[in-house]
Amino acid sequence: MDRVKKMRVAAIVTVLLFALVAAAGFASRSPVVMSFHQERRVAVIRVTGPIVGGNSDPVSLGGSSGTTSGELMRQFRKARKDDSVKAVLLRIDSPGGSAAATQEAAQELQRLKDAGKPVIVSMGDTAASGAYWLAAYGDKVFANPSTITGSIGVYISYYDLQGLSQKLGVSEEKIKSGAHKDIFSPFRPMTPEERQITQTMVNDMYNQFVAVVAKERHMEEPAVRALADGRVFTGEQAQKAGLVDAMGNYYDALAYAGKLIDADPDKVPTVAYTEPVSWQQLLKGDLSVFRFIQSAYGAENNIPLPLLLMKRGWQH
Amino acid sequence: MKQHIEDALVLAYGVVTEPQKNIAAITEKQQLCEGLIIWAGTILLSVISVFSQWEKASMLTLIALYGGAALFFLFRILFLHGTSRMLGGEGSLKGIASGLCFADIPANLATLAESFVFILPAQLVYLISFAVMIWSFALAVMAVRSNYGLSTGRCIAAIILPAVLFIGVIVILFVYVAVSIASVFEGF
Repeated sequence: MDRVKKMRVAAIVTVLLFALVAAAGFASRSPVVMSFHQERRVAVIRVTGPIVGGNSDPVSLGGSSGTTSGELMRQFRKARKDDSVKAVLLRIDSPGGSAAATQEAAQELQRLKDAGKPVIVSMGDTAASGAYWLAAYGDKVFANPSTITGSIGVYISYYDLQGLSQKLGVSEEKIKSGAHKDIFSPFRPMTPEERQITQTMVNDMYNQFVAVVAKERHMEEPAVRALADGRVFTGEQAQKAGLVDAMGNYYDALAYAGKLIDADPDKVPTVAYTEPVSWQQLLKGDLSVFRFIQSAYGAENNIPLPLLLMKRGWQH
Repeated sequence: MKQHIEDALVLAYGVVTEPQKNIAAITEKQQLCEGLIIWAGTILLSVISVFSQWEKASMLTLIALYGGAALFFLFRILFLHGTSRMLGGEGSLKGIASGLCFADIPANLATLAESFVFILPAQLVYLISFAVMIWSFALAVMAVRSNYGLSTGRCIAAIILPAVLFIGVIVILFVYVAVSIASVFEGF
């Protein structure tokens, strides 16, 4: 072959090569191709410890950890927007917490459900009060027979330290704009009027709680109120009462979620949205020391710190 | 410049169809300009692949790709030149650089295969990449042999030696660190 022909062949092959690579690259990003190849996964979101308001992990010198509404909302939103996530497994091990924080997170959980993604709840040791509020949103709720759940109710507490402060010779003078501005002041007992106001608030929150449980559990409100005197139930009792759907552990719930996304129940692809933590968060006090170490070791569960350090020391 | 591009295309055709003869001619004539055109084209294909697949690619990505490739290529030539001379070869840096530029032509096939990984079976893509690696290795051996006049065995050793030395250094460092840490616990 002469020089000109060789050059032409090489040039044509080069142009074709570049065109094919570019076309393939853009085609791989097309929504049709991406949805075809996207692995279907279950997002595992954990509610561990008390549910509190705020954005980051609560600082706790004792080492115990909780879950903030900010963290929960962030994970619910991520799961909703993640096209590869087709179902969510909500693992709850919490005694409850702030009603407002729970409501905030529940709103995002509802949006996730409205996006067509089923929510499977797996209760651990405890899923009571505010934690049950969240659990009620589950399309299927799993509990262990001895899980502590229920505690459908609300309370507001305050301390009356008047007697103690008088003994110490301490008193408080307050110049206030309204009669009830210092309604929960610990330096004086509540007035009957203030007690009534507080009771109204508690009743309002309680009614909201009952309405959520009735709606999400498809129960009549009177039936829920009969159960909602604040008592706790075992998982087994809760199932009989209609507050829980099935008995099973975390892997039973995961297998159920896996079936919903047509995955092998023994090998369900999962994703978790825990954010890596940084030294800056620790130094600023946005993070507990325990959570920092837990994150550094990649430990997902609440392992007591001494055991965690022993485990890592043994491995190294 | 136009002449160089035309020569580069003709030489590329020759390296694919008659590799031994053309690689020898490239290293002998030290056709570095044509080689660099082919090298730049190979990297450009990778850049197009990255930019078309990754929406977050930016100018920094372009700089990183070309910069990284240039650095890697430079080290590769220097190490190869050093080890070839150590093994008794005599040749020029320009010659081996020219030859290695053309020895990387098969890498374009791997880039093409990897671009279609979304429809091709992954095993096929790996197979193609592996075959391309062998092909490039063979062309590199030809380049070293024609540039330095070494036997095939010494050419292979010259190419593999830098990688073996690198892995060896890592292993030695690892053992050193492990022994140092272990010695801290002696006596407890």
